[in-house]
Amino acid sequence: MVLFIVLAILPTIVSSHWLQVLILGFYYALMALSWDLIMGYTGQFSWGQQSFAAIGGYGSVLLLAGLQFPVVVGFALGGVAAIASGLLLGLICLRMRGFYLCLATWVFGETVYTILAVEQEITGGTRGIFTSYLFPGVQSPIPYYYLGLGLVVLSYVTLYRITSSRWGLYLTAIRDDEDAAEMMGVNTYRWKTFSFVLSGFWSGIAGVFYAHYNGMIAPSIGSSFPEMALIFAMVVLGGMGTLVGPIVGALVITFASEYLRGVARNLTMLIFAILILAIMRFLRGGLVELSQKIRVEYLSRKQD
Amino acid sequence: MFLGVVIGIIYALTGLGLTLVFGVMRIANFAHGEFYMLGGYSAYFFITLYGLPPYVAIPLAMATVFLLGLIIERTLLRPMTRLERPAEYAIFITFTLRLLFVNLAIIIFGPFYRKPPDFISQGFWLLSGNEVVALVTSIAMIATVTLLVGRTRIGRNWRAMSEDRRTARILGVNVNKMNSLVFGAATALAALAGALMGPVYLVGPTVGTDALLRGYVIIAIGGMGSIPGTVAGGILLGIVEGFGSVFIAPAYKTVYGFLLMLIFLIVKPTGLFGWQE
Repeated sequence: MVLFIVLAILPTIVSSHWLQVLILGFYYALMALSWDLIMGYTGQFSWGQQSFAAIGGYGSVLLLAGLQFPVVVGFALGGVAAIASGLLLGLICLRMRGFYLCLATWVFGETVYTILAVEQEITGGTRGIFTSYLFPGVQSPIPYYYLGLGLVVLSYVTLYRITSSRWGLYLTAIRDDEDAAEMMGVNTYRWKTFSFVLSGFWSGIAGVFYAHYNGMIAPSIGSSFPEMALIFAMVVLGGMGTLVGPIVGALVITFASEYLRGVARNLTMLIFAILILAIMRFLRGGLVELSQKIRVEYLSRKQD
Repeated sequence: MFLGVVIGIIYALTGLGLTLVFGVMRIANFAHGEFYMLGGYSAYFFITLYGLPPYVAIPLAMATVFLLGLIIERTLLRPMTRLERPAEYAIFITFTLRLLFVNLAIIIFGPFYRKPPDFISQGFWLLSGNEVVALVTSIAMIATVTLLVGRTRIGRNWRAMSEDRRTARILGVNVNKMNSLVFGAATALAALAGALMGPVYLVGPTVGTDALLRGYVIIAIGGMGSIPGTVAGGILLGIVEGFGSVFIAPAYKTVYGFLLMLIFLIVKPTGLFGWQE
């Protein structure tokens, strides 16, 4: 809660450069949040998350280019495209468990990337396509900032409502023990697909936002390893299985990447990798768990 | 077509280590491709920096990576047996290892490709000298591994562990040691594949990704945990890639393998030779 208020007033004090960093952070926050829905809440391995963003983004861009609608419609189009792909992916893959699912979703992601990169005439290949800005002619990043923030808040609130409802119980039941859940009457197939679709939707929206904020889109946002690794790192760092965690993780990592821009990018990824290994070994819950521990410590000290 | 088979056998070498680890340790090693990459780099440096002839450099590279594999297994994978969901943990850890190695390689070795010198310059029929060496070595290695798994005591331990881990332990198999050995062996195999393919596909920080994908496609097709399956899968992949490239479009080469794999995953998830979990 506090975080959002802080974020809301930031544009007044912070420079434009850092606002742009934050906007990027919002994109990743959306991605991380949606991935955590599938991974942390439903316990399914989905290594193709970034392809939802790519599909959403490209969907919007291509359809807009073809049909000449205003950009806002692009959100709807991209969202629909992403939902469709979430459904598709769910249909194909969700009969599989664990590791096999991993493979299948990973392969899906790779395929999407390859198609995007190769089909030069339609998608512009690796150079990418230029598209219209969301707020044409506006130079300052502030409107984008608030839009991004709004999207993050919206997704957070929606997901919060869903996960704390009975539906959320279904999802976590699936995560904890899929067979038991099935036996208790939870239609695991349907709910897994649901989480894929929901997650895909938000990732797709993120992709559309990204595309129209940057004014262009390129296959690199769908590029399997680097993007997925980032999303994964953000979720683990922030705390998997929570809703705040991914957002925090996304912002932290985006900041750190920018801050350490002077140092080689690869070095920062290396440090993150080591950090994540350490976290998985010693502090599974990431930063969220850390903050909870600190709070508990602090409270118990106060009582002495 | 013939080339497809040849490439397929070489690919199978990559899948071999993966299948071993999956069968015995029941985990999916996502960092396997990186060992392939490291093997390629090690061999490259042994040859160019120290001037060692290939038939010394390559086994040396294998040994180096073997040691690395042992260390990793000891420090990172061992604790996993005590956790609730080992498979998940293993996937995360190995995925992160990928991240680590790729970036480490970019930092240390530089983000460009290198070409190790050819093994034999003389070609043979349709194949280049390097490919011949790779082919022969692959076949030899596959045979060796099959013998190892089938005839030796270690192999027997591995097979026991892959069938029923707990019972194997009860019966006296030193599970931890076998784990380390199989992981080390798998990484060494990957390193060998990487070293062999060095002159053909070049050595760079990102070669591991392709190798990894190929490896997984192969074992998905052929059956996890089965050696003949891996070979069959490799050959099948080689053929499919070849046909697809010739008849449809070479740019989509990797996608053909994926499609094949997806089909298998949906229709027959245990692969050609795998067994039911």
